[in-house]
Amino acid sequence: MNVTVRLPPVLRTVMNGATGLDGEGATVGEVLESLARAHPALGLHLLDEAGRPRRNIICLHDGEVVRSFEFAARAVREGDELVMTNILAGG
Amino acid sequence: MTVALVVGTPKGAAVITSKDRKSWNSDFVLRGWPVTASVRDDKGRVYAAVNSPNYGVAIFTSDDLKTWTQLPAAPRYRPTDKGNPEHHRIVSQMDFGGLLKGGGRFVDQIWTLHFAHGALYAGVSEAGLFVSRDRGLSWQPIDGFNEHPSRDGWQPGFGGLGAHTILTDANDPDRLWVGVSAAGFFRSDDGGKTWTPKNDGVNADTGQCVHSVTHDPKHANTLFRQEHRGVHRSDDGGDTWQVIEDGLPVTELSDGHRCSFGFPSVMDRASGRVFVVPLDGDNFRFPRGGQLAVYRTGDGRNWEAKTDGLPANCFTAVLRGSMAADQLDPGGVYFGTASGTIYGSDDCGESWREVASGLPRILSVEAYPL
Repeated sequence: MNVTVRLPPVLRTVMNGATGLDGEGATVGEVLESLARAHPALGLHLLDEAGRPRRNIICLHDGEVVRSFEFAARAVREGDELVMTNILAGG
Repeated sequence: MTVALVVGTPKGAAVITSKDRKSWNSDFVLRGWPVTASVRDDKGRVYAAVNSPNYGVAIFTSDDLKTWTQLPAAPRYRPTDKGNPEHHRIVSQMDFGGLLKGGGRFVDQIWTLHFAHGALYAGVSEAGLFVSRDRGLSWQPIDGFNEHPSRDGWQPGFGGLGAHTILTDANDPDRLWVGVSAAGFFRSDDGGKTWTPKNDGVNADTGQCVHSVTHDPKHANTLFRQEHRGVHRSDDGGDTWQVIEDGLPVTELSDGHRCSFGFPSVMDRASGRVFVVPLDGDNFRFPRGGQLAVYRTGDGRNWEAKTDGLPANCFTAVLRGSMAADQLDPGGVYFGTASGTIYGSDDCGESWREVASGLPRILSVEAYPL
């Protein structure tokens, strides 16, 4: 499945200002792993040392919040869009 | 000559430039990234370390201090490396990626970057050293240090277990030093293969809590060390240390002991002058009586307070990485406060003026002549 991933502003600085990237996979987790393989600099921020999605990343998919522990089981369809954001606190 | 200051904050980096070291222009780059350290290599490229509780640790580079590109690699431990439980407890609030669940060691911050002899070094927490010999494109752990036989006994300070100071000898590429809170100061004489603790003569009643060490790499064996428990000097590469506190504000600790507490230390190499910013420690950690003061030694033994241009009624702090010297003549010295103000001196500390304000908490300051 080809899926578009919308990047948060802080990660656009890693990708020369790109606001979105195309990834592949059958789940949210696989899509993010495909981005990490294609873009190693971005991959540092998506996956931890053990190759797991970083815990504070959130994706919005089909109008729902998907937390990182749900990425592996969350199925995506051809042409879907993931909006990536993250947990924030305070100022 | 133009000087650029690269100032790390939790929300990005201020790049502050001046052609005369009196009037300054400021830009704010790497917005959204906590910037914790920077260094410049022999080609003039600047490397800035970032860490994010959401997106982890990385390094950006720039040749013009305007356009920044992230390197494709960063220091990382092996998933099988054993972590320090007490460090994990301290940094658990910032547990990126849920790494603590596995108990493994991971890089949660780059505390310092250092360039020497064609190699780029990173000191990180959980405490460790990494080296890159291809200008940041790949990183290798320095296992002689990271797997030191004493590691299981290393205790973190309350800020965590971090390798925050790296020094090298301009005349001997095999000699390196590293400072770790709160495991102490170590030296290698074989290019990092083996390391020996170098803390003889340092007051260690509150643990081996080195805060910063400075020297001139061309006269590398004369070292000045701001420790939790006072300022020390070594003339033999760290083999032995002597307390040098004449003229420094020495404060009472709650345990009845005394010390001259502070975090940063820097040297103006041309004059040999050393600068520290004492805080009323250990309890209050702001300038004594609220008078912000830089203390300077010219003879390496006696200190004098320099307050011209610095504010009274000031109850902030200066963190360990937040002071730098530009190594011009006369020497320029700069420091940033935990309340977001940069002060600078263009006469080697005699007088000071505000360079910038309104910044977030300042984590690091480096000065680069352009």
